Formats: sequence, structure tokens, C-alpha cells
Amino acid sequence: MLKVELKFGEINPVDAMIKQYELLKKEGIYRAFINGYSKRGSLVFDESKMSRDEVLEMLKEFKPEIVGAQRLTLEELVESSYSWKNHRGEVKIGKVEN
Amino acid sequence: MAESIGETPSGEKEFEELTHRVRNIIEFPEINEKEFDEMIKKASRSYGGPLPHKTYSICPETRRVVPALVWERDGKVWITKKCPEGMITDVYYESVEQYYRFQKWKYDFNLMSFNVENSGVNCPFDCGLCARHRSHTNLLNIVLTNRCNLSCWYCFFYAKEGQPIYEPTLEQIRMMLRNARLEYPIGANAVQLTGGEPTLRDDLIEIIRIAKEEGYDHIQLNTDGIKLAFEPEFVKKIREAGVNTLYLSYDGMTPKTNWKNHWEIPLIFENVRKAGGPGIVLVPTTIRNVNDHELGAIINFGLNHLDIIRGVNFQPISLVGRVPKKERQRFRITIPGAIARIEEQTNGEIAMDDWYPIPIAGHIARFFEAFAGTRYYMTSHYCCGAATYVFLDRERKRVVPISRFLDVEGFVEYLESKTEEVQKWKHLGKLQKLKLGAEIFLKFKSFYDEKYAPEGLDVLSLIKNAFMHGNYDALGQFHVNALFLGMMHFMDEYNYDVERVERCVIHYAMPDGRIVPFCTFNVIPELYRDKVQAQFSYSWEEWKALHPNWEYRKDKYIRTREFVEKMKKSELYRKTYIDIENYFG
Repeated sequence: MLKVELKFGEINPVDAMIKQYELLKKEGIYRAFINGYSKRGSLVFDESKMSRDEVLEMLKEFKPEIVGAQRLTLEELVESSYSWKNHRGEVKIGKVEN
Repeated sequence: MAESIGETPSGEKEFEELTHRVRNIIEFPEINEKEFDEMIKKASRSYGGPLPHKTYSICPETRRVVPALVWERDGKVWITKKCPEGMITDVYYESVEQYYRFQKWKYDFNLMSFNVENSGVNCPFDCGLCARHRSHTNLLNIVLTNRCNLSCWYCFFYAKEGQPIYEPTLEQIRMMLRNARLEYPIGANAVQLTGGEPTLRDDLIEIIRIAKEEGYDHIQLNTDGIKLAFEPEFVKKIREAGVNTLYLSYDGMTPKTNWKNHWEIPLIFENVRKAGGPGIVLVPTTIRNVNDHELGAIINFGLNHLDIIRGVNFQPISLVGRVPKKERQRFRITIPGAIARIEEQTNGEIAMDDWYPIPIAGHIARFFEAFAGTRYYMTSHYCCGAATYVFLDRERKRVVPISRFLDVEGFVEYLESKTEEVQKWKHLGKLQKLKLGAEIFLKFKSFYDEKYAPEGLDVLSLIKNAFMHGNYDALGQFHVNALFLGMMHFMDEYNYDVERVERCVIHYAMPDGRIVPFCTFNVIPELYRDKVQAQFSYSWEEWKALHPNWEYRKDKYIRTREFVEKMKKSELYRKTYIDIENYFG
């Protein structure tokens, strides 16, 4: 599998969301995040099911640029998703205030 | 009467017959685009704001995330969204009064772990769990198989002959359990093993043991109960392995409304009694004009079998897929709608005000955490669920909801006023603890009215026990004469509210390492349920090669005419359904 980090030349949040939905429907794509605000994104896909060029073709309207790429196995992808490997900030529990 | 006899039950004939007559239709009000735009400009934005309220929903056709308005008219709450193909309205909640009463108890939890890099800006396409999710997993669902012994006509999920088989390995199941268990700061401690029909897995006992090993206190099996009816030893084995609860499909009181297991229920109950458990929660999928006239009777049925039935959890139907407006008006029911039916059908014994919203438990959880150290925050959106307890006073043959003798909301408000002191509990000296404990306990008495309490129930010691120990066992005595009543309304494309998804507490674990809210997993199957199962399934040929002795038809249950006739004449059937008390007469 290949994980690519992307930067986009032209994108807006609405189109980014629509594109993310379209990408995620593909069986070969395991993760997709297209952030129309930061103009960045990442994709994890199975190269035996779709090529890097096919993926870039799907994103071409956003003028994508690959800024990072990393090969990984399915096991590594699963491991990278473990709750205990992904913590943030300090614990804060509380009532919602309007 | 049309019935599934001599074949695998599918419910098709029964449903067709049940829906010949339409008792009532819910009329949806319409607003045009201009009115929508005007209302949305003035709408509240933050979670729990007054109506009209702006949120986001999903377009049933284009699947785009679209702005939506939750608004009030004629005492009901509606959701209207602006889709590319026009305005779509559906009923969101059938009582404005209950909406606001429940809203008061909103509660957000800050989950500090995540499973995907997605930030949540593309919610609900960013699941999950993403860093923006606002509840920890309260109940983890693990789909053990897509094989099923029934063939429900409306189900797109179970594997038909020749289709791929989804069945995660034991290693994948352990990983999924551990992943949710180790969410931070609080992990899941309850798991539901589901399907398809999970009892079709030969290694189910091993899976239950794995869940215990991974630290789950509560293991429930979501089942149609067919296998449990015919294999008493199997019931004993799953209980011994650690299943606490059978989450048992039970849609009505007749063979027509409960075509799935009406005839098998007496045998299931007998086998559970013989095995000494697991406790049963009846699960009626509640549909307007189909079985909404039987809700009171289902509760009465539960009370008649209180030795084995722990609760009834109504699930107002989720109309997933493309459903024409006419059908939604005919079948849609919401939590207040179902509660109103229960009030009518129990002659006011269980009324609207006897129910509480799920997130009230979040407020109570803080105190359990302080006193007993247990951590479990049920903090769903206030419109996702409702619950109560009713007690059976056997001597006086009456049913008493908890709210009639305990001012739960008043007591929780009092606890809230003591938050600061209670949060220091762990650091208090022995004498200070005793003083504060006694103060709270004495105050509790002022919220409790013994006159209305059921005979023989020592509520004061029960509450004391619950606060001191705060664990599952502490509730043991509670269950002897009490029936839990719950409502959980899963969403569909038409009433979809992203604010509810963000706070979802019932999640599915996926073998790709993600944990996904119930209402994205099932409402957007092309991204979640169906997709991941396609990625991780065995093709029909692979499955057959791995299981050379397996045959599709052997999975399927055939209900024979002989069996039905035998049950009709049996003493067991009579005892189960006919010779029972009517507590609401």
C-alpha cells in the first residue's frame, strides 16, 4: 500500500468534501482526507488495485502535488490506527455551556 | 393469515398483510427555500441552542452534506434540508416539550484518542473515530459474520447464496476489542457481538472468552434466538463463557408482528431459565402502522417474565435508503411518538414524564467516578435515546416507574451543586468523607417518596450500594423487580443530524483499525459497512475451499408446520403468552 501526503493548488472546502466522498467509495482506497481549508490531504491506497497516476487523475482539478510518500502494509496501517498510539492534549471532561 | 411456514422466515408476507390498513399518517409541513433561508439566518448554531437550530445533514440522493434546519411547528420538531434537488422535510422529534426537557441534560465528553488522521471537517465522511468525536465508545459492536439463518426481506446485509462471506478472524476480533477498550481517557467496557446471526459462528465461545480476556465487563449477543431455542446446552455454554445479555429481536405479540421468533420464544425462555441466564433484553423495532399498537403489551409481556427479562429496548425504525415521502409518513415514528403510544397503552402507568434522556447518565457518571472510581460516560445527543426503570409491585399488582417515587432530576441537580466538593472526594480525609457522604445520603431522602415506592424494595440501600461500588454487580438487586425500558432511535438519510453523529456512543469496530459511529456505519454503507466488508470478505469460492463441509442451506432455519402446530398446543406456549397477568388493565 502507498500513503501519499498532498498539497493542493486550487481547492475549496465543499469540493474537498465531495471529492473525499468519491475517493472513499473506491475499494482500493483505505484512507482519504482532503482538507479544503488547509489545502492539504492524505490518501492510503492499495497499489495493486489502483495506480498513483489514477489517484492523481481523480484529483487533478485541485492541482495536487505529492509532498510525501510512504509504503506501508495493511498491518502497519491498522497499527497506526490504534487508540493507544493516538492521544492528544490533556484530559478535560465537562458540561456543555452555551 | 399469511405466515412464513415451511420456509425460511423472511417477513415479506406478514409485512404485506400488516400494512394493508393504515391507521395514521404523519403530515409533514412544508417550507420553501426563501423561508428556509430566512429561518436559518436567525437559527442558533451551538449544540443545544434553541429552535430553530442550524445543523448539517446528508442528501439522500447526491450524498452531499447539506445545511439543515431543526425547527418547531404544531408542537413537533421537524428537520428540513436544502438538497441540490430541492427541500426535504421529515419529523425529527414528535414533542417540542420533551425536546426541551431532554435538551437541558446535554453533556459533552472530550475524547482524547483518535483512530484516523482526519480532523472531522468533512464529518460524517471522516470516521473514525476522529479527533472531533465527542463520546467514548459506550457499546462496541463487532460484526462476527454476515451469514444469517433468516432471510429478512428488507435486509441488504446478509450474504445471499454465492455472495462474499464476511467473517473476521480471531486475531482481528481481538484487535478490534482492544482498540476500543484502550480509547483515552475512557475505553469501552461493553461489547455487542452481532451479525448477520452471530450464533452461526462455530468459534463463538472462543470469541466471548477473548472479550473477557480483553477486559469487557458486559458482553451482549445480538440474536434472533433461533439457535438458542433448539440447543439448550449452547445457552449454558454462552452464559458460562461470559455473555451477560441476550439482545433479542422481539417485534410484537403475534406471529404476524413478530414473525422472526414468535413460535421459538417459549423455547428460548425455557432454555434461558434452565441455564440461569443470560438476562434478556427484548428489542422491538418500532414502526408506525405496523406494531406501534403493541408497545404496551410488549412491556406487559416483559413484566410477566421478569425472572429472565432485564429490559425492553425499543428502536424506532431507521428508514435507510431511498424512501418516498408517503412511506416515511406512514412508517416513521420517533422517541416521543413511541413514548406517547406507551402512555396510551399502559393507561398512563408509564407516562411521558417518566422517561429520561441518555446524557443525564453523563451527569451522574461524574459522581460515580468520584465515589467509586468507575468511569463510564453515556453522553450521546439528547435526541438519540431515552430510558427509565419501572418496578413491579407484585403484591399490589401495579407498575411503578422510578420517577414516581424518586425525583431523579432533582437529585442530579443537587449533585451538580455539590460538584466541587464531590470531585475532591478522593483527597478527603476519612472523617470528611463520612460527613459529605452522610450529607448527600440524608439529602437523597428528601428526593425519595416512600409512599409511592414499590413494596419490598429498599431503594435507599440500593442507591447507597450503587454509589459505593458503582459497578455492574451493584445493580443486581435493582434488577430483581425492575424492568429497564429504553429507546434508541438510529438515524437515516432523512432525519440525519451531524451533531448527533459527532456524539454517537454506539460504535462499530472495523478490521481496518477504524471505529465508526452506528449511524455512519449503517447510513453511509458505501463508505463504511459495505465497503470494509467487501475489502475483508472471502469470495464464495474461497469460503467454500476453507470450509469444505459447509452448505449455505444448512445455515438457514426452516420453520415447519409441525413445529408451529406442536407449539400452539403446548403448555409452554400457553404459559409464555396466554396465562399471563395484565398489569395495565
